[in-house]
Amino acid sequence: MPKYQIIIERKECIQCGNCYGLDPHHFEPDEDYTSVVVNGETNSEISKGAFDDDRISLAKQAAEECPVEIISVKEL
Amino acid sequence: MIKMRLPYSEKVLDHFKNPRNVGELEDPDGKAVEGSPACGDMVQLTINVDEKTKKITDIKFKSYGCASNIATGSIITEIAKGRTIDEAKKISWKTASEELGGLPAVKAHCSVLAVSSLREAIRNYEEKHGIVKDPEPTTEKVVKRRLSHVMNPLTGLDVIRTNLITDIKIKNGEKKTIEISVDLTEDHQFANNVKEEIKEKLEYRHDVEKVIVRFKE
Repeated sequence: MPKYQIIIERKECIQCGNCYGLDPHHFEPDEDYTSVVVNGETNSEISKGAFDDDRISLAKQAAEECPVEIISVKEL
Repeated sequence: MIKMRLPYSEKVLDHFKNPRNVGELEDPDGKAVEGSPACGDMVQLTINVDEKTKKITDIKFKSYGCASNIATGSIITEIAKGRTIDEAKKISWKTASEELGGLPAVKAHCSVLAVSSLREAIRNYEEKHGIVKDPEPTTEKVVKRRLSHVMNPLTGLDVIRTNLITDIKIKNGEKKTIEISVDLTEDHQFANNVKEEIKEKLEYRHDVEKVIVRFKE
């Protein structure tokens, strides 16, 4: 059962790489270095994916540190 | 004459004009050269760590970047010195920005680069000392991710995006051998730099035995 969902509003991403540098388990760059959720559903505006691992604190830290505040982590 | 007001605080300007801890440590315990795929800026950061206390005893940085990049490099080295590596890993670009009295939003990625170089230098130290928590197997995807922070000196963009890396081979064994082919001749002026940075990014990984960098004929 997935424990939490990560959503990135990619349209506003500034390709700074903080999230995927800090937490490569949940975030990765696409070919333009815009952030996407690892193994998530991605289109030009949004990327989202659900996880059942115990690394939620790292995902939350990435959300907290995002300079443009486009990452949300919701517990399911 | 109209004077444009700079969007930088006094403290940013002070750290930009008089950066602290500039330079490079000789034979450091941890080292990172990080490039920003977003803008081509680069930061080199070296640390020495006390083996018992795990405190950062010395730290130096060199920046090939803009005012906010230099100021962030300066302030994070001040904050990190004397802290344990676990404490230093928690220093974020927001910590740096707050200490500097705020940074323009458009410059956030420059300060993220300085913070990433500190985190990567710590990771380099941890990899060398076999203290990486939660190690990830080195796959082609991981190799590409790590090499996306190595700059192609001919273009100012990274070696993956500019196709400077022409082939990646991973030979599995008890420990892996990684062969990286580079689209430069061995006598090219930047060949040695690129080789060293590729090796630095990969050869200390927990499951890697050897990194071979091949140049074109």
